Amino acid sequence: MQMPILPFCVCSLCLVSAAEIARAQPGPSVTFEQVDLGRLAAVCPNQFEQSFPTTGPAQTTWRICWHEVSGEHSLTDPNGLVIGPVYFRKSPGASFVSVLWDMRVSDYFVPYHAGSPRFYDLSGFNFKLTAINTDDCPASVGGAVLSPHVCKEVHDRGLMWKDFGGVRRGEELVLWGAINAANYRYVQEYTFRDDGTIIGRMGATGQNLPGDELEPHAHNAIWRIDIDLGATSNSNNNAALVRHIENIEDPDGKASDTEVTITKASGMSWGVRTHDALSVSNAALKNARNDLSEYRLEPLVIGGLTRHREPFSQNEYWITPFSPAQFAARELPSYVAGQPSVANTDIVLWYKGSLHHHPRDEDGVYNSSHMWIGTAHLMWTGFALVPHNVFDCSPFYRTCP
Amino acid sequence: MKSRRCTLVSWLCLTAFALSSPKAEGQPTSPSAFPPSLDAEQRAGIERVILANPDIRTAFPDGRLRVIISQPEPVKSESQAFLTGQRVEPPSSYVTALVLDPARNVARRITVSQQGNRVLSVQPVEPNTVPFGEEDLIAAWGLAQRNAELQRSLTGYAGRFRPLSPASEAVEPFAVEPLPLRSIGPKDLCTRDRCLDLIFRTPDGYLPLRAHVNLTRGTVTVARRQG
Repeated sequence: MQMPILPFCVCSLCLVSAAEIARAQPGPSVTFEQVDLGRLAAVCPNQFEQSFPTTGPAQTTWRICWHEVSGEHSLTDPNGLVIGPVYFRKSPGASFVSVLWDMRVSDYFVPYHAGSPRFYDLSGFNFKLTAINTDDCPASVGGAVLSPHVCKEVHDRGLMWKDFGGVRRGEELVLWGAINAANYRYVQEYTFRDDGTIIGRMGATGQNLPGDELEPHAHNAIWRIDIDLGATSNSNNNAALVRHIENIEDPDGKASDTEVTITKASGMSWGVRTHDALSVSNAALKNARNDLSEYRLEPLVIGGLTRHREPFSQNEYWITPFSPAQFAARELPSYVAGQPSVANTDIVLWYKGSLHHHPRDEDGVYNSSHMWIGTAHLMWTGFALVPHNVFDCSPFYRTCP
Repeated sequence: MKSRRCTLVSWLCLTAFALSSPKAEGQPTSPSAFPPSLDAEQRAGIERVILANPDIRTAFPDGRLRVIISQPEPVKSESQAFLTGQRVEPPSSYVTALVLDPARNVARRITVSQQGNRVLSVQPVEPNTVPFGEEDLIAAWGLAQRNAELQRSLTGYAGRFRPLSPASEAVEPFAVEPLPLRSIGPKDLCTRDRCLDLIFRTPDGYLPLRAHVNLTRGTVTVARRQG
């Protein structure tokens, strides 16, 4: 059994210094109007703004910073595509609101049914983003190669709404890169929709494990989402677990939603019957109807969510107070040990998504030399951050009354 | 006055750095980074501080160790204060390093502020969580090449395979690639030891086997599908 690593300091200096880092956290508020564009460009060289719709007057706008991490220390600074800070403006007359500070994949955990191997496909070997080109990211689908490893796509996303009076299609911006993990590629994809929704996905594709091509396994992605929701301060974010409760024995067929505030760092299982969502709010951020604005973290499950022997893999949701030293998914149990407060503070959400890979003939075939010929097509799992009471009424519908 | 001038200079440099950064879409250029990556001198300075730290010297008395240093990360609160104009100076940054003695299987994590290269913390870490690097790949390949069963399996490819770090974008038709191996079974040595699987890519595909290398004990076995 893998024991959680319990951090402790081996020098007195550590206590002072940890406090030194912590003292500075959380920091002052970040609303876009307060942010000096020159300064933002200085600390965030790779930034851009995307308004929707892409033609005609802008209604919503994202300002997105991103960067690549390509180091040798993926346990504490995971490699790959890092998103943040991110700001969102819900209408031309509104203020930009801070949404994210740093969103990235913490790790990929891939245990095989035989019990071994159990790969950590991001932190294990500091796997890095692989090269892309215009074949990956063609202009014909709205693609633009932002760097040798990162593609940006802006395109139609299908129907946004359809009712008695009409229909509207939506648009989205997608940023993606892919980690080269030897025989596998892991697509790290982040979507920013016109309606304020953010979607994070993992896609796994590649050659089945050489020597064990037919062994079933699971691919788990654990995202670290440093959410900073607010107009006046990032220091007073709060989280709650929102649940749909329904007793199927109830003759009246009634159901209810509950919202339980989370005050202590913890891990939580996602309930398949209860639509569990993690809600994040800022007491100072309300919409024009005076409703508390939230972003809700919701799983985008395809097939299911696996759990494994390792304690960190036994919850889908984790919430921790922000710490600059906490990036490793496998250390999550130690991060919540002692249950530090997550009330009214700078918080970090973690989400574990899974996909189950039962090898199939479509993955490939052995040739006469018993070599595996073929590739497993992309399999996906992910999550959504959905605005809840951020807008004042239906976005992209009619002018609010 | 002097410090204010320094601040102004660094702010101007930062702005110039940002404005000169390539942003044009459709042009695949290397992305900019903030804080910039460590240069050789900075890296050496940090390494000196780490090696001189009393806790590190105690944990690694014979000095045989490997130091892995992360990219610099800005201090979040200082970044936010800078963005909102509440701080004049650009945000300071810190790096995290892993120090490992592969032979003794001992590891520490150490955080160093780039401001004056001050050690902020030293923590023990499980050695098998320390990420593998190119050094390990080369060491594993060195061991694997001496394994008789693997030699037999690679007959026909003699001398053609080369170790290829996944970080490399080189085109290598016959590549030995690493898969770091972790286990949880109480009897499995790789629950504690540093183990690496090697896989073998040819232009046609991967060979249907893995060389299972225990770097801590220097052993190699070949894993392949039974039947």
